[in-house]
Amino acid sequence: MNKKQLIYIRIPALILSCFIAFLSLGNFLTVVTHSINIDIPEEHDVSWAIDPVNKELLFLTDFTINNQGAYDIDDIDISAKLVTENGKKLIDYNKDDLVVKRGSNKTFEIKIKTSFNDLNLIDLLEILYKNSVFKLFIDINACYMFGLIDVNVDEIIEHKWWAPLGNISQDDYIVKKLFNIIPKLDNKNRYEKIDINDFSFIDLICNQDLKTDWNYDIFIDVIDDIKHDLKTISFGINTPIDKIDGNINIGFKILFHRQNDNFDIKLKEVNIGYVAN
Amino acid sequence: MLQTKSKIPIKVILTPLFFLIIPSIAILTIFLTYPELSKENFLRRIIFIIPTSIILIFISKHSLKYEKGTSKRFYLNVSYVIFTIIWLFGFLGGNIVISETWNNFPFYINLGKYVSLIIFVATINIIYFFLEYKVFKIELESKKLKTQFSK
Repeated sequence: MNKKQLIYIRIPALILSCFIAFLSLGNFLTVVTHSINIDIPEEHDVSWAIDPVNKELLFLTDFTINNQGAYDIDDIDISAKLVTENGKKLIDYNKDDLVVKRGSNKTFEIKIKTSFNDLNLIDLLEILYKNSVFKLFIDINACYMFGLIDVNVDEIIEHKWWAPLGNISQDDYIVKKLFNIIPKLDNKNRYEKIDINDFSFIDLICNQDLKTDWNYDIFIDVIDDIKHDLKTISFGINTPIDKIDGNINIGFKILFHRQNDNFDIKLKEVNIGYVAN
Repeated sequence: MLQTKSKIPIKVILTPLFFLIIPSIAILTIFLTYPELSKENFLRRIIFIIPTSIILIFISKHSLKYEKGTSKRFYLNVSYVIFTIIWLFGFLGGNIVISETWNNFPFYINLGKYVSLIIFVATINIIYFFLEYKVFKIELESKKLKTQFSK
């Protein structure tokens, strides 16, 4: 090797050293000034809903990544796991390859749903009838600065679960009515004919000791005219529950069919949801 | 007769500039701009940077006293590279996994791959200094032989 050949090694070595110096300064500023920040949801940021028609349990939450650093955050992988108090895994959730561009903030919605069909009867009954504590394990991995830096967040959110049918189940009348209506909802045909009297128990649900007052709203959302005598009516009941610091929403979509002096009411959709205050 | 001024080598000027003055100013500026950030982090970095940068300045100055191809120069060059890694390591927080607590939840920054890149570049530099030592050693020896023959 001669002096000239030495230059061929010296030049890339110098360029790489300058590159490292440049990255280090940018990285130093990012690390020290907390330019990358992740707002993880807390207990009150988690809401749930039960969709009895599709027989699904939904958990909704979101988190925000604030990237005020010099480089994009990419390959963001999120995994969430919902576990019962006794360690039984209910839901697994994964989302991969998300990106947050530099100088931007982005909110990602975590929508975890599980079908009741995937749960065994004991777990399902536990969810519906027993107050418990759910643990939501959230694991976020991301890459920064051309994949040279890995960012990792692990968090466990403990979410108090108030069984939606916990208090209702104490009432014989409601239980009887529920047992009447649930097989109809179980039917794959959503247009199963259900008598409006089947819903008379709703008034009693809102009068349970879950609720602190009477002021629930019954509201009609939309009335769609399919034909002159055929309408779709969406309405819901919204009732605040101070005990669990939230609101219960029960929504219905019904098909209203008028035939001369008689009318048919067919249930299209029912959902029960909980929204934290 | 006018005496020619002795030239100050670039390495001797750049070392205190890049390893002491600029980082210290950067740390102080960030410290003053973001008073809400913990003082400990800055203090830890300053405490790490000052002694390592002084060692680097000392090495850079002394390495130039020796000719290329001598073992002393080679060892000083290698120690310069090693101390640069140590300096950089301290500058970035002194750990491969930096644990931060933001909004009351743990947040980890893993610099593993980045540190690997730094070590890779440092290795290239060490290889270069080794080859430089070998090439110039031959040249030095041939010079010595020439002077011996001329005598």
